[in-house]
Amino acid sequence: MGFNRKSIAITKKFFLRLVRIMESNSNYADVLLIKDSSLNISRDNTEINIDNDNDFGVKLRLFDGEFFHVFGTTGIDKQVLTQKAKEFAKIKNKNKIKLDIDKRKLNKDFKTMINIDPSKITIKTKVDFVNNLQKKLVNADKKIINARVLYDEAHEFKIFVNKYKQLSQEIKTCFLMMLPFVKSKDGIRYYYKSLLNSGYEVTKIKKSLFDNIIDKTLKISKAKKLKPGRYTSILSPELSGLLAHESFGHGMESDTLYKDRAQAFEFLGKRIASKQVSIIDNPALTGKNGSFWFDDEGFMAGKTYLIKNGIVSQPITDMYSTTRLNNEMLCNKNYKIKRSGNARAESYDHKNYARMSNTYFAPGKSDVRAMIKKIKNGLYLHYSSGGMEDPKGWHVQIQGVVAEEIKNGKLTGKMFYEAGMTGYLPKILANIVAVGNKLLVPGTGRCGKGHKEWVRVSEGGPHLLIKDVELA
Amino acid sequence: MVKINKIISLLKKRKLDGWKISLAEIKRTNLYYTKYLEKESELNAFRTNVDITIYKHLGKEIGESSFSILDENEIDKKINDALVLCDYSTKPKFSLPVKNKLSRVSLVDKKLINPIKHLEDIHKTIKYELTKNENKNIKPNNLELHSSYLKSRIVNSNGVDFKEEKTALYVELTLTASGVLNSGKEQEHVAMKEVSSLSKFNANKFVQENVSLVKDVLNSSLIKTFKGNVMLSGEASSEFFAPHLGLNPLVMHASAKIKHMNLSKYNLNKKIAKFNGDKLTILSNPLLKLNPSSSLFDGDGVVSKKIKLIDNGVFNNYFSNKQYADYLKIKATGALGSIEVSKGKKLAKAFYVSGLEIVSFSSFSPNSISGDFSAEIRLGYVVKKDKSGKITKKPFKGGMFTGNIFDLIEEMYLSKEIKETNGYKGPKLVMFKNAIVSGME
Repeated sequence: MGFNRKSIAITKKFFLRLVRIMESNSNYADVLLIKDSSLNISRDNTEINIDNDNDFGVKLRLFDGEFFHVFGTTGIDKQVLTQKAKEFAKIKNKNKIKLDIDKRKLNKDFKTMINIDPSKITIKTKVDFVNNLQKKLVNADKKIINARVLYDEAHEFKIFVNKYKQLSQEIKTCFLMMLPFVKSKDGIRYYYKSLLNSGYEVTKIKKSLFDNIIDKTLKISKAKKLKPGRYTSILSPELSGLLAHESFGHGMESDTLYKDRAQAFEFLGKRIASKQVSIIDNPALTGKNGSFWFDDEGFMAGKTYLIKNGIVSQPITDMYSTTRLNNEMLCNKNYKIKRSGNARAESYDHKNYARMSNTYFAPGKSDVRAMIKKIKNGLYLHYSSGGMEDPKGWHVQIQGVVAEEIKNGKLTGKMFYEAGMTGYLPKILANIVAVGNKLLVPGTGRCGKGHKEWVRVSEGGPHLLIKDVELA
Repeated sequence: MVKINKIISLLKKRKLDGWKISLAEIKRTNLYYTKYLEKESELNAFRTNVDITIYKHLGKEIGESSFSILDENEIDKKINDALVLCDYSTKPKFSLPVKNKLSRVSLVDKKLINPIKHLEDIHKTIKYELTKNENKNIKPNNLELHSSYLKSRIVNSNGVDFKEEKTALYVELTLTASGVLNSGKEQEHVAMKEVSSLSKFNANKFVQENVSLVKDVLNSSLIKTFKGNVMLSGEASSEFFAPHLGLNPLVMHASAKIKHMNLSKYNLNKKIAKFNGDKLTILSNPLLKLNPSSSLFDGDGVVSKKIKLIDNGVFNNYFSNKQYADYLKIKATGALGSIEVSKGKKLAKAFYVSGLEIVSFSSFSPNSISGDFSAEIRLGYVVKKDKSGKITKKPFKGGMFTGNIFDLIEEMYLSKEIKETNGYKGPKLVMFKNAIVSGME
């Protein structure tokens, strides 16, 4: 089932009817439709796979003054949804918690603007592109024993309706990942590079980028193990983004704060880092992996300063925990949390949580070349395989870090493979010496809450020069 | 609602070279509690996934394309589109599985089909256990109770028609311990357990064990960099062999697909490492009764079986789906199941000499190809044995367990006692000699 202007209007009208049925006992209700589809082409030395995936369902939510009743179902079966709405309508209001609902009215439809629409490109062109790129990677050097190329075009469509909002959004992204495998003395290693764009232009790979991928892959084949210790390091935008994400991203989710699961609560409005440090979450950033117009509670996307000029500022929020934080935990403090559009669910059969979108350090004033010049002995940290949050303990874990030696103000090309970065977050922030002047938000991954509830996010920032980075 | 029999007859009518239908119907009942275990949400959801794969013979190659459908009326158009995609999605020929006899293993707890009352009982028990006097400094900050009932079915053009039902219960409890005398010091511990049956979950014991751990987290200190005996116990030993995300490299290199991609370092009947300690035997067992990782058949309809991947340190067998089994001219093994690791000769207590014991990682995610890993430690103990034989354990937190799994297993010792969790059955305790923990002190 595709959606056009007419069917969007009809669906919104039906959902509004469901909301009215559900709210007959003075409860709050909303309806969310999620339709995801994707075309995925992957190729390695031995095979090519092409898959089309579709996921489509509707979620009804009712808040009875105490807790949410949530019902999710595949497809859009009007009879099933109406019957469930009628069941929800019988639930009495318990009047214990008054949700902080955004009552600004809005009826609007949003759509991604694309330069090259992938739906206008033939499947043959796409397959040829993937085949050729995979061959080019493998043929670039005999040490490269295999390579995987993954092209994925995703189309996410949502309709949200409550008493005040009737919204729809259509988001298109094209993702490309290159993963060359290389032989080393210690076994097989790989390098990866992923790119994301709204349109098919993601496939326009510059020669300099391709050459850089091959160069890094070959350097990784010779990379040594890093001696554990503390190193003056420059974090690439990928790494600074991951640091922002794992540290103050997860640590500033309003549900985590409300549950006393984040130390950041004690620091709201207080200084945690020097003035040059700001961390932002911004789903309204155009064309990134975590971009959207409104969240799964119909709240409009916007920029949130998690840390502003070194001071712990505003969390990213969902409706329930914001209400409880403001009414119970912050009512005696001179501090109020503002709602942000960060309530997100993995799908229509999952609960909403406060989640990140595009999270990054704000740019500063330093030039990365000047940063490198400053370092006599140190490291440039290129990328990592992932990280894990610890908002309560503020211990940082980033694993699979690939680093390059800096000696006497120059990158030497000597690489170190798969180190682990750790440390106590306030100490890391206090050790930031310089913040780069160029912002990049290249992240293309998914983020879980613990080990589950996966949503698309991006992360990035400028380069960061940090002293005493603990690497194992 | 999609009618599966109608889809089968539509596919048969099209006279295709081959096809497969994969149907999954999932019913979820989840309860979410916020701090003090107040209810925040009650979720009931019904998901139906119908995925269809079309195969097209193209000389020595086969074309394959998959799509999902929500309505059987759209199937004809989708088949036409898939047949076009098959021309581009080609690979060396392989055959589809044929009908075979399924093993009879119980994977369903009927109580978890309509579980709401049982979930509420678990909530009550956990709440009660935490109100006990000795737990007054322990605060629950989050509880999630997820139950699911999955009905899956695989039908293909070779006559395979398998059905399976499974239940699962996932419990996640976050506990915060606060310091005495209003010191303001707080530490948390996230306890997780996934089982297939209520009979395998004891809420009282779950709370007691994890209260003990969070108290230790509160009293933990930092450690200096350490090289020597490192023991893994608790969830750390099972996570080492069966990580939450991805496969352990010891298992990954036994994949027929990885072999076919020229990425496996294993050779049949050859040692996988030099073993100076206990030799490793690893099996994949998808037929453990009431284990969430068990499956009677894989996604293609190959009947699952228990398979020895590594035998006494020697690579013994690949795990494989039908496609890669045909390429390597071996038998397909069905679904990969729980990782079973052979037990050692000594009781766990014999390993408590001097060293570190790790019970919980933030996340253990090794590079499944290279075997490199670095995992932050959420809770561990500095273990010391004095001259009189008395063992003392002092908790620590932070620092990174780091190394390469293929190097580490060369000096590995396994306990005689075994345990079974979701996806793992094997020694309760594993000890590595000359292992490294990078400290933070």
